[in-house]
Amino acid sequence: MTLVILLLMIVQVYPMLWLMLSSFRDNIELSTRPFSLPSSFTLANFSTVFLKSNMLLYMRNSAFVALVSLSLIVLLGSMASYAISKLRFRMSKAAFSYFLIGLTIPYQVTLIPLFIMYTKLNVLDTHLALILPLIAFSMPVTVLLCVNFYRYIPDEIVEAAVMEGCGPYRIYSAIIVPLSANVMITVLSMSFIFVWNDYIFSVVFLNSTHLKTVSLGLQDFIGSHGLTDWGATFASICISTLPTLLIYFLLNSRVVDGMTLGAVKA
Amino acid sequence: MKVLRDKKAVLVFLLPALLLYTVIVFLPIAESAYYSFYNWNGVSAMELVGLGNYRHLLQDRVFRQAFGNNLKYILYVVSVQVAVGLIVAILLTYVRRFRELIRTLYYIPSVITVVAIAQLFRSFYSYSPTGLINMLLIWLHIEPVPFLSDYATALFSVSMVEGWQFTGVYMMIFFAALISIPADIEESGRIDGATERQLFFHIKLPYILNVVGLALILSLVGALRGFAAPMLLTRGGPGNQTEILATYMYKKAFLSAQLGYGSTIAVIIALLSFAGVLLVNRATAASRDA
Repeated sequence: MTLVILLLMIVQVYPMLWLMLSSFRDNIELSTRPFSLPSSFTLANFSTVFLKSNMLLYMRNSAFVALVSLSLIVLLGSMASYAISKLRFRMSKAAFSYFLIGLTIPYQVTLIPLFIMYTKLNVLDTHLALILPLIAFSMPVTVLLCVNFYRYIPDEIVEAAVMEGCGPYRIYSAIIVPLSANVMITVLSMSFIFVWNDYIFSVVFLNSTHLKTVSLGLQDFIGSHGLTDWGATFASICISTLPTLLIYFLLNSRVVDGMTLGAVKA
Repeated sequence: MKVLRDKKAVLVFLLPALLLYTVIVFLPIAESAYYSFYNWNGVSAMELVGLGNYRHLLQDRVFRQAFGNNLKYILYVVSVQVAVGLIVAILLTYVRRFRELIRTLYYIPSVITVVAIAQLFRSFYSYSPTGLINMLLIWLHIEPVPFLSDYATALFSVSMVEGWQFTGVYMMIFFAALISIPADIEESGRIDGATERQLFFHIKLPYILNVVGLALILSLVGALRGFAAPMLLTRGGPGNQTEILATYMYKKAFLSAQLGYGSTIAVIIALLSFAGVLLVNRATAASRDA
């Protein structure tokens, strides 16, 4: 059984390890002895990426998109979840279900209508074109996680605050927000990975080189005839996935929790 | 608690998210349905064609192939993710040492952009120059395979990118469910002399059936969102062998400016996803009652 696990581990983990090692190989060794340990660690691939490519620019773009998206995901998501779980109105259950349906909608269905809308509003080929669907498609998971979390905040606390004269806005800012830190970290780490890794919205809505995000930039080392500078590609993959890996290793269980819709509570 | 019934406050808190979500996620489904009745290149006037696009779909050989490919693509992705995820999770419940480390490492591919994973697989699958997998095959004295250009292997090879990448997600889900099974249920099974296999099929599996249903839905929805791997690895080729609905829609709408026809494909994608989720829901509900 240990053998089976080992085998399955190799299948899943070895490619990642190989990728990291390969970013330090020169292209000749990559094509001749790709299994061996790199004979000499070369940083040439990384210098190619940093000096001769736009990777840093792409990372700055992705960081900007992530910053704006995450702020709004957290703000809009927690506000809506507060309304659904603590304020009292007839349609609160329906509103919750309505958000959850979004979990099953494929992104592709929205591309053409958004493209048409963006063309009319002149936001095609801007970061906003990306940010809007990234936020909107994060709402279902965010609302699911937040509402489930807010249900654990006892209604008595909220009611006591009302007795002391707090209005609905004050309850949100003075009680809900301070108590949300836990679930917010989950939402932030998961959303960061979702936003940083986006490909589909970037490829459809972005055109200009100076606006490209990392997922698009990873294609830059493929020449016009399909000839790929593999060393540089692997190095750029390593660099561009560093932020997500960092977040994953720091906030391990939060990331997993978010990506499995909170199904995992281990 | 009249304060909590403040209608204005409800609107203030709920509306921003609700509006954005409705306009960006929900409305497009209706809009796609609307555009699917027109021929439109995005520039000239829209031409109402009624059900023309749908009639065209039925006769479109590429569409029919893409539809079939898409079902296969989903089948491959879902079976790999759920089966391998479940196997790894079961094995892990018997492991004591390094369990956390194994889980952490196993999950890594799930947090990396699919573009990177697709690049990695493109290099692994390579036929000439010989890629990693073919080197392994040659070493085992097996004929190398042009994975991405052979009709027989292209679709499966492309689907394995996503299948492989997210296996860790399902491992995590199943593992959490399996270790939440109360020890005394398992214990009493053991006392009754059940083998490990009987224990799994008669006690553990029924206990986590809900979670299996959830995992199936998650995996199905994920597979339906598939686009990047076929787009990046083969662009639908060779000869439409890896064309799925999403890549075909993308090509029609954004590369040949057939926005109406593209929308018709989008409607089919939406229908397919609703049907899929409903089906899985039904199936798990039925097997739970049984």
